[in-house]
Amino acid sequence: MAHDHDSPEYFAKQSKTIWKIGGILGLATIFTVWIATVDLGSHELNIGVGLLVAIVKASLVALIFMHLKSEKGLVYKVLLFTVVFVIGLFFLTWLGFADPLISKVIQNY
Amino acid sequence: MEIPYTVKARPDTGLYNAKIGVWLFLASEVMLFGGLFSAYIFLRLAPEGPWPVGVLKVHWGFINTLVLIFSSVTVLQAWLALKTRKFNQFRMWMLATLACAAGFMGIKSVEYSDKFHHYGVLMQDGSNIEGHLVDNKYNVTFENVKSVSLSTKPQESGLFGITFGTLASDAKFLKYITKGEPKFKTPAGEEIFLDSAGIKKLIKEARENVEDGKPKPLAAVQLTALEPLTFEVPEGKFFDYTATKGVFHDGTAIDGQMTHDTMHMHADKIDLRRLIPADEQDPERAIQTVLKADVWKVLGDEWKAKYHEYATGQLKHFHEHHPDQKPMHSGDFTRHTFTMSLALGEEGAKHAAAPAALLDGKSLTAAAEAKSGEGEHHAAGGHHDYPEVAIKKGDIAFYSNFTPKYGNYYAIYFTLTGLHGLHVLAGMLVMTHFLLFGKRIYDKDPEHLANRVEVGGLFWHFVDLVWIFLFPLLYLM
Repeated sequence: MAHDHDSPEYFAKQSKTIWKIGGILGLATIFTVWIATVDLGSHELNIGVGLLVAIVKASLVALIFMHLKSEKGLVYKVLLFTVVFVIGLFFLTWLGFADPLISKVIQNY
Repeated sequence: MEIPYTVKARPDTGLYNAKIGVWLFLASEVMLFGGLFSAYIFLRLAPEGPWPVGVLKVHWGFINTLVLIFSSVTVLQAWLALKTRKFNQFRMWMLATLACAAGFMGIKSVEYSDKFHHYGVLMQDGSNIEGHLVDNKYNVTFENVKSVSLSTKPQESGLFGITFGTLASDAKFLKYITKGEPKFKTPAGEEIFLDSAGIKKLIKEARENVEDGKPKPLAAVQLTALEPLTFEVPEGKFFDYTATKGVFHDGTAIDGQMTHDTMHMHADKIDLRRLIPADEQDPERAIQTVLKADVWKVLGDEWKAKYHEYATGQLKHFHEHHPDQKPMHSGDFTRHTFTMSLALGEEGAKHAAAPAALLDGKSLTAAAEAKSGEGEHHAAGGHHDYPEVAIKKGDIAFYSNFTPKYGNYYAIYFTLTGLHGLHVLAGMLVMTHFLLFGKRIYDKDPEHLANRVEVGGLFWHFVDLVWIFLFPLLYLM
Protein backbone atom coordinates (compact mmCIF):
# COMPACT_ATOMS: atom_id res chain seq x y z
CA MET A 1 0.00 0.00 0.00
CA ALA A 2 1.31 3.41 -0.96
CA HIS A 3 -0.31 5.20 1.91
CA ASP A 4 2.94 6.53 3.24
CA HIS A 5 3.35 9.43 0.80
CA ASP A 6 6.56 10.63 2.41
CA SER A 7 8.76 7.54 2.44
CA PRO A 8 11.87 7.38 0.24
CA GLU A 9 10.56 4.10 -1.22
CA TYR A 10 7.40 5.85 -2.38
CA PHE A 11 9.40 8.57 -4.12
CA ALA A 12 11.73 6.05 -5.73
CA LYS A 13 8.70 4.26 -7.13
CA GLN A 14 7.28 7.58 -8.33
CA SER A 15 10.52 8.37 -10.12
CA LYS A 16 10.34 5.06 -11.99
CA THR A 17 6.71 5.63 -12.96
CA ILE A 18 7.58 9.07 -14.32
CA TRP A 19 10.36 7.70 -16.52
CA LYS A 20 8.04 4.98 -17.76
CA ILE A 21 5.29 7.44 -18.67
CA GLY A 22 7.87 9.69 -20.34
CA GLY A 23 8.94 6.71 -22.46
CA ILE A 24 5.35 5.90 -23.39
CA LEU A 25 4.76 9.54 -24.41
CA GLY A 26 7.86 9.42 -26.60
CA LEU A 27 6.72 6.21 -28.29
CA ALA A 28 3.24 7.68 -28.78
CA THR A 29 4.86 10.67 -30.50
CA ILE A 30 6.70 8.38 -32.90
CA PHE A 31 3.42 6.57 -33.55
CA THR A 32 1.67 9.90 -34.29
CA VAL A 33 4.28 10.84 -36.87
CA TRP A 34 4.20 7.38 -38.44
CA ILE A 35 0.41 7.09 -38.66
CA ALA A 36 0.21 10.52 -40.35
CA THR A 37 2.16 9.08 -43.31
CA VAL A 38 -0.11 6.04 -43.64
CA ASP A 39 -3.08 6.30 -45.99
CA LEU A 40 -6.01 5.20 -43.84
CA GLY A 41 -8.46 5.75 -46.66
CA SER A 42 -9.46 9.30 -45.90
CA HIS A 43 -7.74 12.37 -44.55
CA GLU A 44 -10.49 12.73 -41.93
CA LEU A 45 -9.65 9.32 -40.47
CA ASN A 46 -5.98 10.28 -40.23
CA ILE A 47 -6.96 13.45 -38.37
CA GLY A 48 -9.22 11.47 -36.05
CA VAL A 49 -6.53 8.94 -35.16
CA GLY A 50 -3.95 11.70 -34.70
CA LEU A 51 -6.21 13.59 -32.31
CA LEU A 52 -7.10 10.40 -30.43
CA VAL A 53 -3.42 9.70 -29.75
CA ALA A 54 -2.99 13.33 -28.67
CA ILE A 55 -5.90 12.98 -26.24
CA VAL A 56 -4.40 9.82 -24.76
CA LYS A 57 -1.02 11.55 -24.40
CA ALA A 58 -2.61 14.63 -22.81
CA SER A 59 -4.54 12.42 -20.39
CA LEU A 60 -1.34 10.69 -19.31
CA VAL A 61 0.32 14.05 -18.67
CA ALA A 62 -2.69 15.34 -16.72
CA LEU A 63 -3.34 12.17 -14.71
CA ILE A 64 0.21 11.12 -13.87
CA PHE A 65 2.51 14.14 -14.30
CA MET A 66 0.00 16.60 -12.88
CA HIS A 67 -1.22 14.13 -10.23
CA LEU A 68 -4.85 14.52 -11.29
CA LYS A 69 -5.21 10.78 -10.70
CA SER A 70 -5.40 11.50 -6.99
CA GLU A 71 -6.10 15.14 -6.28
CA LYS A 72 -8.33 16.87 -3.76
CA GLY A 73 -11.97 17.53 -4.58
CA LEU A 74 -11.64 21.29 -4.94
CA VAL A 75 -9.30 20.95 -7.93
CA TYR A 76 -11.84 18.77 -9.74
CA LYS A 77 -14.58 21.30 -9.01
CA VAL A 78 -12.47 24.10 -10.54
CA LEU A 79 -11.73 21.97 -13.58
CA LEU A 80 -15.38 21.05 -14.02
CA PHE A 81 -16.15 24.72 -14.66
CA THR A 82 -13.30 24.91 -17.15
CA VAL A 83 -14.54 21.91 -19.09
CA VAL A 84 -18.04 23.39 -19.29
CA PHE A 85 -16.70 26.72 -20.55
CA VAL A 86 -14.34 25.17 -23.08
CA ILE A 87 -17.17 23.11 -24.53
CA GLY A 88 -19.19 26.33 -24.63
CA LEU A 89 -16.38 28.11 -26.52
CA PHE A 90 -16.20 25.32 -29.09
CA PHE A 91 -19.98 25.38 -29.42
CA LEU A 92 -20.02 29.13 -30.07
CA THR A 93 -17.58 28.71 -32.93
CA TRP A 94 -19.59 25.79 -34.22
CA LEU A 95 -22.61 28.09 -34.42
CA GLY A 96 -20.76 29.96 -37.15
CA PHE A 97 -21.52 27.10 -39.53
CA ALA A 98 -25.23 27.71 -39.04
CA ASP A 99 -24.67 31.11 -40.68
CA PRO A 100 -25.93 30.71 -44.25
CA LEU A 101 -23.35 33.20 -45.52
CA ILE A 102 -20.48 31.18 -44.13
CA SER A 103 -21.78 27.73 -44.97
CA LYS A 104 -22.37 28.85 -48.56
CA VAL A 105 -18.79 29.83 -49.26
CA ILE A 106 -17.09 26.82 -47.66
CA GLN A 107 -14.94 25.02 -50.21
CA ASN A 108 -13.35 21.65 -49.94
CA TYR A 109 -9.72 22.73 -49.53
CA MET B 1 3.83 39.19 6.85
CA GLU B 2 3.87 35.43 6.79
CA ILE B 3 1.91 33.92 3.92
CA PRO B 4 -0.25 31.17 5.39
CA TYR B 5 -0.39 27.58 4.21
CA THR B 6 2.65 27.56 1.95
CA VAL B 7 3.74 24.22 3.33
CA LYS B 8 0.88 22.69 5.26
CA ALA B 9 -2.50 22.07 3.69
CA ARG B 10 -5.33 24.38 4.58
CA PRO B 11 -7.73 22.28 6.64
CA ASP B 12 -10.87 23.19 4.69
CA THR B 13 -9.45 22.70 1.17
CA GLY B 14 -6.97 19.97 1.93
CA LEU B 15 -4.41 21.76 -0.27
CA TYR B 16 -1.63 24.24 0.29
CA ASN B 17 -2.67 27.65 -1.08
CA ALA B 18 -0.28 27.87 -4.03
CA LYS B 19 -1.74 24.71 -5.49
CA ILE B 20 -5.26 26.11 -5.55
CA GLY B 21 -3.81 29.27 -7.04
CA VAL B 22 -2.04 27.49 -9.86
CA TRP B 23 -5.05 25.32 -10.67
CA LEU B 24 -7.28 28.38 -10.90
CA PHE B 25 -4.70 29.94 -13.20
CA LEU B 26 -4.45 26.79 -15.32
CA ALA B 27 -8.25 26.66 -15.53
CA SER B 28 -8.23 30.09 -17.16
CA GLU B 29 -5.33 29.03 -19.39
CA VAL B 30 -7.29 26.03 -20.64
CA MET B 31 -10.11 28.37 -21.66
CA LEU B 32 -7.67 30.76 -23.38
CA PHE B 33 -6.06 28.04 -25.46
CA GLY B 34 -9.40 26.29 -25.87
CA GLY B 35 -10.81 29.40 -27.52
CA LEU B 36 -7.81 29.61 -29.84
CA PHE B 37 -8.01 25.93 -30.77
CA SER B 38 -11.67 26.48 -31.49
CA ALA B 39 -10.71 29.39 -33.76
CA TYR B 40 -8.20 27.14 -35.50
CA ILE B 41 -10.81 24.49 -36.20
CA PHE B 42 -13.21 27.08 -37.58
CA LEU B 43 -10.58 28.57 -39.87
CA ARG B 44 -9.54 25.11 -41.00
CA LEU B 45 -13.10 23.98 -41.80
CA ALA B 46 -14.15 27.23 -43.48
CA PRO B 47 -10.91 28.44 -45.05
CA GLU B 48 -10.72 31.76 -46.91
CA GLY B 49 -8.70 30.03 -49.59
CA PRO B 50 -6.52 26.99 -50.18
CA TRP B 51 -5.24 25.82 -46.80
CA PRO B 52 -1.53 25.11 -46.67
CA VAL B 53 -0.93 21.52 -45.63
CA GLY B 54 2.43 20.05 -44.80
CA VAL B 55 4.29 23.36 -44.94
CA LEU B 56 6.01 22.90 -41.57
CA LYS B 57 9.06 20.68 -41.27
CA VAL B 58 7.89 17.66 -39.29
CA HIS B 59 11.32 16.80 -37.90
CA TRP B 60 11.53 20.12 -36.02
CA GLY B 61 8.11 19.66 -34.45
CA PHE B 62 8.92 16.04 -33.65
CA ILE B 63 12.20 16.91 -31.92
CA ASN B 64 10.50 19.72 -30.00
CA THR B 65 7.76 17.34 -28.81
CA LEU B 66 10.35 14.92 -27.46
CA VAL B 67 12.30 17.78 -25.87
CA LEU B 68 9.21 19.01 -24.02
CA ILE B 69 8.22 15.52 -22.88
CA PHE B 70 11.74 14.95 -21.57
CA SER B 71 11.65 18.29 -19.77
CA SER B 72 8.35 17.31 -18.15
CA VAL B 73 10.10 14.24 -16.77
CA THR B 74 13.13 16.21 -15.55
CA VAL B 75 11.06 18.86 -13.77
CA LEU B 76 9.30 16.06 -11.86
CA GLN B 77 12.65 14.49 -11.03
CA ALA B 78 13.75 17.88 -9.66
CA TRP B 79 10.69 17.91 -7.43
CA LEU B 80 11.30 14.34 -6.25
CA ALA B 81 14.93 15.25 -5.48
CA LEU B 82 13.67 17.99 -3.17
CA LYS B 83 11.17 15.62 -1.58
CA THR B 84 14.05 13.28 -0.74
CA ARG B 85 16.24 16.25 0.30
CA LYS B 86 18.89 15.93 -2.40
CA PHE B 87 19.51 19.55 -3.27
CA ASN B 88 22.37 18.96 -5.72
CA GLN B 89 20.26 16.52 -7.70
CA PHE B 90 17.47 19.06 -7.73
CA ARG B 91 19.83 21.61 -9.25
CA MET B 92 20.98 19.17 -11.91
CA TRP B 93 17.42 18.26 -12.98
CA MET B 94 16.35 21.88 -12.97
CA LEU B 95 19.30 22.77 -15.17
CA ALA B 96 18.36 19.93 -17.55
CA THR B 97 14.79 21.27 -17.72
CA LEU B 98 16.04 24.76 -18.49
CA ALA B 99 18.36 23.40 -21.18
CA CYS B 100 15.39 21.63 -22.79
CA ALA B 101 13.33 24.82 -22.71
CA ALA B 102 16.18 26.77 -24.29
CA GLY B 103 16.56 24.07 -26.94
CA PHE B 104 12.86 24.28 -27.70
CA MET B 105 13.06 28.05 -28.16
CA GLY B 106 16.17 27.68 -30.30
CA ILE B 107 14.41 25.33 -32.69
CA LYS B 108 11.36 27.60 -32.66
CA SER B 109 13.45 30.59 -33.70
CA VAL B 110 14.99 28.60 -36.57
CA GLU B 111 11.47 27.74 -37.72
CA TYR B 112 10.26 31.33 -37.41
CA SER B 113 13.28 32.66 -39.28
CA ASP B 114 12.56 30.18 -42.09
CA LYS B 115 9.04 31.60 -42.35
CA PHE B 116 10.23 35.20 -42.45
CA HIS B 117 12.51 34.41 -45.41
CA HIS B 118 9.94 32.40 -47.35
CA TYR B 119 7.70 34.35 -49.73
CA GLY B 120 4.47 33.71 -51.53
CA VAL B 121 3.08 35.54 -54.55
CA LEU B 122 -0.56 35.64 -55.53
CA MET B 123 -0.73 36.41 -59.23
CA GLN B 124 -3.50 38.43 -60.85
CA ASP B 125 -5.39 35.32 -62.01
CA GLY B 126 -5.19 33.56 -58.64
CA SER B 127 -2.12 31.40 -59.29
CA ASN B 128 0.05 31.09 -56.25
CA ILE B 129 3.81 30.63 -56.38
CA GLU B 130 6.08 30.33 -53.36
CA GLY B 131 9.82 30.44 -52.83
CA HIS B 132 12.83 32.40 -51.63
CA LEU B 133 13.80 35.78 -53.03
CA VAL B 134 17.11 35.72 -54.88
CA ASP B 135 19.69 37.30 -52.57
CA ASN B 136 16.84 37.84 -50.10
CA LYS B 137 15.66 41.02 -51.76
CA TYR B 138 13.07 42.47 -54.08
CA ASN B 139 14.27 45.91 -55.15
CA VAL B 140 12.85 48.58 -57.38
CA THR B 141 15.44 50.59 -59.29
CA PHE B 142 15.05 54.27 -60.14
CA GLU B 143 17.70 55.73 -62.40
CA ASN B 144 18.44 59.27 -63.48
CA VAL B 145 16.83 60.75 -60.37
CA LYS B 146 17.26 64.50 -60.69
CA SER B 147 14.98 65.84 -58.00
CA VAL B 148 13.81 64.90 -54.54
CA SER B 149 10.87 66.35 -52.68
CA LEU B 150 10.93 66.35 -48.88
CA SER B 151 7.60 66.27 -47.09
CA THR B 152 7.18 68.76 -44.26
CA LYS B 153 3.74 67.71 -43.01
CA PRO B 154 3.03 69.99 -40.06
CA GLN B 155 3.15 68.59 -36.57
CA GLU B 156 -0.22 67.14 -35.70
CA SER B 157 -1.18 65.90 -32.31
CA GLY B 158 -2.75 62.47 -32.47
CA LEU B 159 -4.84 60.70 -29.88
CA PHE B 160 -4.20 62.04 -26.35
CA GLY B 161 -1.21 63.98 -27.65
CA ILE B 162 0.50 60.84 -28.92
CA THR B 163 1.42 61.03 -32.60
CA PHE B 164 1.45 57.95 -34.79
CA GLY B 165 3.66 57.35 -37.78
CA THR B 166 6.21 59.60 -39.39
CA LEU B 167 5.04 63.13 -39.92
CA ALA B 168 7.77 64.36 -42.23
CA SER B 169 10.66 63.09 -44.34
CA ASP B 170 13.48 61.38 -42.54
CA ALA B 171 16.93 60.48 -43.81
CA LYS B 172 16.27 56.76 -44.42
CA PHE B 173 15.84 57.15 -48.17
CA LEU B 174 19.44 58.30 -48.48
CA LYS B 175 20.75 54.80 -47.79
CA TYR B 176 19.09 53.45 -50.96
CA ILE B 177 21.29 55.58 -53.21
CA THR B 178 23.57 53.16 -55.07
CA LYS B 179 25.15 55.55 -57.56
CA GLY B 180 26.00 59.20 -57.08
CA GLU B 181 26.49 61.49 -54.07
CA PRO B 182 23.54 63.00 -52.17
CA LYS B 183 24.53 66.56 -53.16
CA PHE B 184 21.60 68.84 -53.79
CA LYS B 185 20.72 72.42 -54.56
CA THR B 186 18.16 73.89 -52.14
CA PRO B 187 15.30 76.20 -53.27
CA ALA B 188 17.42 79.09 -51.97
CA GLY B 189 20.16 78.11 -54.40
CA GLU B 190 22.53 76.76 -51.77
CA GLU B 191 24.53 73.59 -52.57
CA ILE B 192 24.51 71.06 -49.74
CA PHE B 193 25.57 67.50 -48.93
CA LEU B 194 22.31 66.04 -47.58
CA ASP B 195 22.26 64.13 -44.31
CA SER B 196 19.87 63.63 -41.40
CA ALA B 197 20.68 66.94 -39.73
CA GLY B 198 20.39 68.79 -43.04
CA ILE B 199 16.95 67.33 -43.68
CA LYS B 200 15.75 68.35 -40.23
CA LYS B 201 17.03 71.87 -40.78
CA LEU B 202 15.36 72.20 -44.20
CA ILE B 203 12.04 70.97 -42.84
CA LYS B 204 12.21 73.34 -39.88
CA GLU B 205 12.89 76.27 -42.19
CA ALA B 206 10.01 75.28 -44.50
CA ARG B 207 7.64 75.11 -41.56
CA GLU B 208 8.69 78.53 -40.36
CA ASN B 209 8.54 80.05 -43.84
CA VAL B 210 7.35 83.65 -43.92
CA GLU B 211 5.92 85.33 -46.96
CA ASP B 212 4.94 89.00 -47.05
CA GLY B 213 5.35 89.14 -43.30
CA LYS B 214 2.84 86.33 -42.75
CA PRO B 215 3.70 82.77 -41.67
CA LYS B 216 3.19 80.47 -44.68
CA PRO B 217 4.55 76.94 -44.07
CA LEU B 218 5.61 75.02 -47.16
CA ALA B 219 4.23 71.50 -47.74
CA ALA B 220 7.38 70.29 -49.44
CA VAL B 221 11.00 71.20 -50.06
CA GLN B 222 12.13 70.70 -53.65
CA LEU B 223 15.77 69.69 -53.98
CA THR B 224 17.65 69.37 -57.24
CA ALA B 225 20.38 66.75 -57.52
CA LEU B 226 23.74 68.06 -58.70
CA GLU B 227 24.33 64.77 -60.56
CA PRO B 228 21.75 62.13 -61.60
CA LEU B 229 21.30 59.54 -58.83
CA THR B 230 20.40 55.84 -58.88
CA PHE B 231 18.17 54.40 -56.15
CA GLU B 232 17.63 50.73 -55.36
CA VAL B 233 14.73 50.55 -52.96
CA PRO B 234 13.14 47.48 -51.35
CA GLU B 235 9.64 47.33 -52.86
CA GLY B 236 7.91 47.47 -49.50
CA LYS B 237 9.56 50.79 -48.61
CA PHE B 238 7.53 52.58 -51.26
CA PHE B 239 4.07 53.84 -50.47
CA ASP B 240 3.48 53.88 -54.22
CA TYR B 241 5.42 54.36 -57.40
CA THR B 242 4.89 54.95 -61.11
CA ALA B 243 7.24 54.81 -64.09
CA THR B 244 8.61 58.24 -63.23
CA LYS B 245 7.91 58.87 -59.56
CA GLY B 246 8.43 56.99 -56.30
CA VAL B 247 6.81 58.01 -53.01
CA PHE B 248 8.08 56.64 -49.70
CA HIS B 249 5.87 56.02 -46.66
CA ASP B 250 7.15 59.19 -44.99
CA GLY B 251 6.08 61.32 -47.96
CA THR B 252 9.50 61.77 -49.55
CA ALA B 253 9.22 61.62 -53.35
CA ILE B 254 11.87 60.97 -55.98
CA ASP B 255 11.58 61.80 -59.69
CA GLY B 256 13.40 59.67 -62.22
CA GLN B 257 12.99 56.62 -64.45
CA MET B 258 11.88 53.37 -62.91
CA THR B 259 14.02 50.80 -64.74
CA HIS B 260 13.52 47.57 -62.82
CA ASP B 261 10.76 46.16 -60.63
CA THR B 262 10.80 42.45 -61.41
CA MET B 263 10.81 39.94 -58.57
CA HIS B 264 13.43 37.19 -58.80
CA MET B 265 12.65 34.08 -56.86
CA HIS B 266 13.80 30.51 -56.39
CA ALA B 267 10.32 29.07 -56.67
CA ASP B 268 9.68 25.91 -54.69
CA LYS B 269 5.94 25.38 -54.98
CA ILE B 270 2.86 26.29 -56.97
CA ASP B 271 -0.74 26.16 -55.79
CA LEU B 272 -3.42 26.55 -58.46
CA ARG B 273 -6.49 25.63 -56.43
CA ARG B 274 -7.86 29.17 -56.48
CA LEU B 275 -8.34 28.94 -60.26
CA ILE B 276 -10.85 26.13 -60.08
CA PRO B 277 -14.53 27.12 -59.80
CA ALA B 278 -16.14 25.89 -56.58
CA ASP B 279 -18.73 23.81 -58.44
CA GLU B 280 -16.27 22.16 -60.86
CA GLN B 281 -17.04 18.43 -61.02
CA ASP B 282 -14.86 17.37 -63.94
CA PRO B 283 -11.20 16.81 -62.98
CA GLU B 284 -10.04 16.75 -66.63
CA ARG B 285 -11.59 20.16 -67.23
CA ALA B 286 -10.10 21.45 -63.98
CA ILE B 287 -6.64 20.38 -65.15
CA GLN B 288 -7.25 22.14 -68.49
CA THR B 289 -8.27 25.26 -66.54
CA VAL B 290 -5.10 25.42 -64.51
CA LEU B 291 -2.98 24.77 -67.61
CA LYS B 292 -4.04 28.27 -68.70
CA ALA B 293 -2.74 29.83 -65.47
CA ASP B 294 -0.51 32.90 -65.41
CA VAL B 295 2.07 30.91 -63.55
CA TRP B 296 3.21 29.15 -66.74
CA LYS B 297 4.19 32.52 -68.23
CA VAL B 298 6.69 32.61 -65.40
CA LEU B 299 7.75 28.98 -65.23
CA GLY B 300 7.78 28.23 -68.94
CA ASP B 301 6.47 25.44 -71.15
CA GLU B 302 8.84 22.78 -69.84
CA TRP B 303 7.32 23.02 -66.37
CA LYS B 304 3.84 23.25 -67.82
CA ALA B 305 4.39 19.92 -69.61
CA LYS B 306 5.80 18.40 -66.42
CA TYR B 307 2.79 19.59 -64.51
CA HIS B 308 0.37 18.24 -67.10
CA GLU B 309 1.97 14.82 -66.83
CA TYR B 310 2.05 15.05 -63.04
CA ALA B 311 -1.63 16.02 -62.71
CA THR B 312 -2.76 13.35 -65.16
CA GLY B 313 -0.74 10.82 -63.18
CA GLN B 314 -2.44 11.94 -59.97
CA LEU B 315 -5.87 11.55 -61.53
CA LYS B 316 -5.06 8.06 -62.82
CA HIS B 317 -3.68 7.12 -59.40
CA PHE B 318 -6.82 8.37 -57.69
CA HIS B 319 -9.14 6.47 -60.04
CA GLU B 320 -7.16 3.27 -59.45
CA HIS B 321 -7.16 3.55 -55.65
CA HIS B 322 -10.56 5.11 -55.04
CA PRO B 323 -12.74 3.87 -57.92
CA ASP B 324 -15.96 4.70 -56.05
CA GLN B 325 -15.06 8.30 -55.10
CA LYS B 326 -15.45 11.55 -56.99
CA PRO B 327 -12.04 13.19 -57.36
CA MET B 328 -13.26 16.78 -57.14
CA HIS B 329 -15.01 15.98 -53.83
CA SER B 330 -11.78 14.77 -52.28
CA GLY B 331 -9.69 17.37 -50.48
CA ASP B 332 -6.75 15.00 -50.76
CA PHE B 333 -7.07 14.83 -54.53
CA THR B 334 -7.34 18.58 -55.13
CA ARG B 335 -4.57 19.25 -52.63
CA HIS B 336 -2.18 16.89 -54.41
CA THR B 337 -3.23 17.51 -58.00
CA PHE B 338 -3.46 21.28 -58.14
CA THR B 339 -0.32 21.98 -56.16
CA MET B 340 3.16 20.85 -57.13
CA SER B 341 6.61 20.98 -55.63
CA LEU B 342 9.16 22.53 -57.97
CA ALA B 343 12.12 20.82 -56.35
CA LEU B 344 14.74 19.70 -58.83
CA GLY B 345 16.78 16.52 -58.99
CA GLU B 346 16.70 14.05 -56.11
CA GLU B 347 14.77 16.41 -53.85
CA GLY B 348 12.10 16.65 -56.50
CA ALA B 349 11.75 12.92 -56.88
CA LYS B 350 11.36 12.67 -53.12
CA HIS B 351 8.88 15.52 -52.73
CA ALA B 352 6.58 15.06 -55.64
CA ALA B 353 4.24 12.14 -55.33
CA ALA B 354 4.56 11.81 -59.11
CA PRO B 355 6.33 8.81 -60.60
CA ALA B 356 10.04 9.54 -60.44
CA ALA B 357 10.36 9.13 -64.20
CA LEU B 358 8.28 12.26 -64.66
CA LEU B 359 10.94 14.43 -63.19
CA ASP B 360 13.83 14.45 -65.55
CA GLY B 361 16.00 15.82 -62.77
CA LYS B 362 19.21 16.26 -64.72
CA SER B 363 18.03 18.43 -67.55
CA LEU B 364 16.01 20.66 -65.22
CA THR B 365 18.88 21.10 -62.78
CA ALA B 366 21.13 22.10 -65.64
CA ALA B 367 18.52 24.51 -66.92
CA ALA B 368 18.11 26.10 -63.51
CA GLU B 369 21.84 26.50 -63.05
CA ALA B 370 22.21 28.06 -66.46
CA LYS B 371 19.40 30.46 -65.54
CA SER B 372 20.62 31.40 -62.09
CA GLY B 373 24.14 31.87 -63.44
CA GLU B 374 26.47 32.36 -60.52
CA GLY B 375 25.85 29.22 -58.51
CA GLU B 376 28.07 30.34 -55.65
CA HIS B 377 25.62 33.13 -54.85
CA HIS B 378 23.01 30.70 -53.70
CA ALA B 379 25.18 27.89 -52.45
CA ALA B 380 24.68 28.97 -48.83
CA GLY B 381 20.91 28.77 -48.89
CA GLY B 382 20.75 25.70 -51.07
CA HIS B 383 17.89 27.35 -52.95
CA HIS B 384 19.44 26.52 -56.30
CA ASP B 385 17.67 23.17 -55.98
CA TYR B 386 14.72 25.18 -57.25
CA PRO B 387 14.20 26.98 -60.54
CA GLU B 388 14.82 30.72 -60.59
CA VAL B 389 11.88 32.65 -61.96
CA ALA B 390 11.26 36.31 -62.75
CA ILE B 391 7.82 37.69 -61.93
CA LYS B 392 6.77 41.03 -63.39
CA LYS B 393 5.32 43.53 -60.93
CA GLY B 394 2.20 43.85 -63.07
CA ASP B 395 1.45 40.14 -62.64
CA ILE B 396 1.61 40.32 -58.85
CA ALA B 397 -1.69 40.90 -57.07
CA PHE B 398 -0.22 40.43 -53.61
CA TYR B 399 2.99 39.13 -52.11
CA SER B 400 4.24 38.62 -48.60
CA ASN B 401 6.61 36.56 -46.56
CA PHE B 402 5.04 33.85 -44.40
CA THR B 403 3.71 36.15 -41.70
CA PRO B 404 0.12 36.58 -40.46
CA LYS B 405 -0.78 38.90 -43.34
CA TYR B 406 -0.06 36.09 -45.83
CA GLY B 407 -3.25 34.36 -44.74
CA ASN B 408 -5.32 32.87 -41.96
CA TYR B 409 -3.13 29.79 -41.68
CA TYR B 410 -0.07 31.81 -40.72
CA ALA B 411 -2.17 34.14 -38.57
CA ILE B 412 -3.41 31.29 -36.40
CA TYR B 413 -0.05 29.49 -36.61
CA PHE B 414 1.81 32.47 -35.19
CA THR B 415 -0.90 33.20 -32.62
CA LEU B 416 -0.92 29.66 -31.27
CA THR B 417 2.81 28.93 -31.39
CA GLY B 418 3.73 32.48 -30.36
CA LEU B 419 1.52 32.37 -27.30
CA HIS B 420 2.85 28.91 -26.50
CA GLY B 421 6.42 30.20 -26.92
CA LEU B 422 5.69 33.02 -24.47
CA HIS B 423 4.57 30.39 -21.98
CA VAL B 424 7.83 28.53 -22.45
CA LEU B 425 9.71 31.77 -21.76
CA ALA B 426 7.61 32.40 -18.64
CA GLY B 427 8.34 28.86 -17.44
CA MET B 428 12.05 29.46 -18.01
CA LEU B 429 11.91 32.62 -15.88
CA VAL B 430 10.24 30.77 -13.01
CA MET B 431 12.66 27.85 -13.17
CA THR B 432 15.69 30.14 -13.37
CA HIS B 433 14.39 31.78 -10.21
CA PHE B 434 14.17 28.38 -8.46
CA LEU B 435 17.66 27.55 -9.61
CA LEU B 436 19.26 30.81 -8.48
CA PHE B 437 17.33 31.61 -5.31
CA GLY B 438 16.02 28.20 -4.30
CA LYS B 439 18.79 27.61 -1.78
CA ARG B 440 17.51 30.35 0.50
CA ILE B 441 14.04 28.85 0.72
CA TYR B 442 15.46 25.34 0.93
CA ASP B 443 17.59 26.18 3.95
CA LYS B 444 14.60 27.69 5.72
CA ASP B 445 12.14 24.91 4.85
CA PRO B 446 12.89 22.37 2.13
CA GLU B 447 9.22 21.44 1.87
CA HIS B 448 8.36 25.03 0.92
CA LEU B 449 10.71 24.91 -2.06
CA ALA B 450 9.41 21.45 -2.98
CA ASN B 451 5.87 22.84 -3.08
CA ARG B 452 6.88 25.81 -5.19
CA VAL B 453 8.67 23.55 -7.65
CA GLU B 454 5.63 21.29 -7.77
CA VAL B 455 3.42 24.26 -8.65
CA GLY B 456 5.91 25.51 -11.24
CA GLY B 457 6.01 21.97 -12.60
CA LEU B 458 2.22 21.92 -12.95
CA PHE B 459 2.47 25.00 -15.16
CA TRP B 460 5.29 23.39 -17.13
CA HIS B 461 3.23 20.23 -17.75
CA PHE B 462 0.42 22.39 -19.01
CA VAL B 463 2.80 23.98 -21.54
CA ASP B 464 3.75 20.45 -22.62
CA LEU B 465 0.09 19.48 -22.81
CA VAL B 466 -0.73 22.35 -25.17
CA TRP B 467 2.15 21.35 -27.42
CA ILE B 468 0.91 17.75 -27.50
CA PHE B 469 -2.15 19.09 -29.38
CA LEU B 470 -0.32 21.75 -31.37
CA PHE B 471 2.20 19.35 -32.90
CA PRO B 472 -0.18 17.00 -34.74
CA LEU B 473 -2.65 19.78 -35.53
CA LEU B 474 -0.15 22.14 -37.18
CA TYR B 475 2.55 19.80 -38.45
CA LEU B 476 0.74 16.65 -39.46
CA MET B 477 -2.82 17.48 -40.51
